[in-house]
Amino acid sequence: MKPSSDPIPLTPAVFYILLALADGDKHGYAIMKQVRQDSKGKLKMGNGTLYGSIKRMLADGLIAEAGDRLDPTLDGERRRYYTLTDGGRQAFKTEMQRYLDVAALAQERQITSRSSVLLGL
Amino acid sequence: MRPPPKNPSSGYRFYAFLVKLYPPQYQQAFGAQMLRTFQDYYASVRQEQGRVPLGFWFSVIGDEVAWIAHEQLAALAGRREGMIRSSFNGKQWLVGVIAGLALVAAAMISYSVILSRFAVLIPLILLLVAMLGMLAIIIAVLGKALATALKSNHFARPLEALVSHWRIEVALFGAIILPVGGYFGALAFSPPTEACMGKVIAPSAPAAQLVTAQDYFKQGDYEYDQGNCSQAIADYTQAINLNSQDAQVYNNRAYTYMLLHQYDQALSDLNNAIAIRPDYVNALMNRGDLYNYYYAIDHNRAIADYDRIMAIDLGNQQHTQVNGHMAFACFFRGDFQPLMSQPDETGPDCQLPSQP
Repeated sequence: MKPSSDPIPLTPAVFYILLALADGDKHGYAIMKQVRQDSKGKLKMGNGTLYGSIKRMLADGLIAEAGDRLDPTLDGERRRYYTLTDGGRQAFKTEMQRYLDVAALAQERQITSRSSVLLGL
Repeated sequence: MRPPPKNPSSGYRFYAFLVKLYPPQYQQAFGAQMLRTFQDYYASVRQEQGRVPLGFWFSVIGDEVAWIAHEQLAALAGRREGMIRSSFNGKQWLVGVIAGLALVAAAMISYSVILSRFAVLIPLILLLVAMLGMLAIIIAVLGKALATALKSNHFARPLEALVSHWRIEVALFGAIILPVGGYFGALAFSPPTEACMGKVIAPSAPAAQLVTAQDYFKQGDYEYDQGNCSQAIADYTQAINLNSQDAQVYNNRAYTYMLLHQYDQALSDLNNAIAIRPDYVNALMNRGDLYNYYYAIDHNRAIADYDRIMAIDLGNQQHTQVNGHMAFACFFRGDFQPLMSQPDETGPDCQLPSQP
């Protein structure tokens, strides 16, 4: 299925999964840990949410399976890794741009200070 | 699929059970990965905290239940979509409206009949069939709507996707509001509280004079047959004032109270009638029905009253009637065997000892 070009805002789960995969391929538990770390513990993603989101992101071509391999930091069992596709990278950039636009707009209207907006990102 | 660990923990086994609740295709695609990830997560929580807190399980169960429901609905929607499209050709709304109206009508008729205390079994079955039919159509319509919603908005949260689609709201409205509306509609059309609704086969004649208890009793029956419940009760009351030992008067006043839905007074009168005449079949039948369907619901007491009737030699027809009500009492209590028995058998007692 081709990546969706609709500029629909991503859910927090999808956004954080894209963010987690932005710096390299990861397996399910690594994604879960990264999301928790990136959201400073505010988003505790359960298994159901993780794999439900992964299913839809695979279907929409945002991510792809990158094969099974060992994680040297965990036990000796193989885990399935996921990687960002070009479509996923583009969706992530679009979403980031949307956040930046909103932040700039807030700044322009003096709703909040520039520093706090940037810190919030 | 990766084999399970050799000595799975109870937590792993429980999570494996949850995974089995997903649709088969989903399990095939993600089941093994989910188990692996859960194991990693579970182990890390135990390592960090020394134990697995209760909050962990609340979080896991809440998350999984929501997604299991979502995936099952999505699977159902996927299966239904083609069938619905070819069957109704885009006229789901019409089917929903017709089915909704049919359900309201069925519910109103059935509830009305039940409330007016006649023939319980057939209306209940009709109501059940109507509701099952409506449920099937709602699932079908819901399935189509879900398929559309889920396909059109992959990025939205599942619940947001569900509630954002108007057809789903309509279907849920039909599923919840229409039966409730039917019930209250039936209440509105149920027997009026100011007149009796008894089917009079042989109307009583009015009393020639009102002197004795028997005169007032006869006059009460006459007023009852004329549909004047309140006056009938007044006459029965006068008869009781003159003679408080006539079980028949208590029973007739109780039955009139029942038609007025004044069940507490009815129960009191029936207790008096049965205290005076312990083998009074009509009063036992009325009290059994009261406990069974209308007031102070207690199926054990209803069964006890029906049992007492069964112990009295009445002839086959009366016992057959009692059998039906007894079967319902047993059914409501959770004993289904009596519903399978033949009407002319000795009578279902739900394995209850007959109570005196």
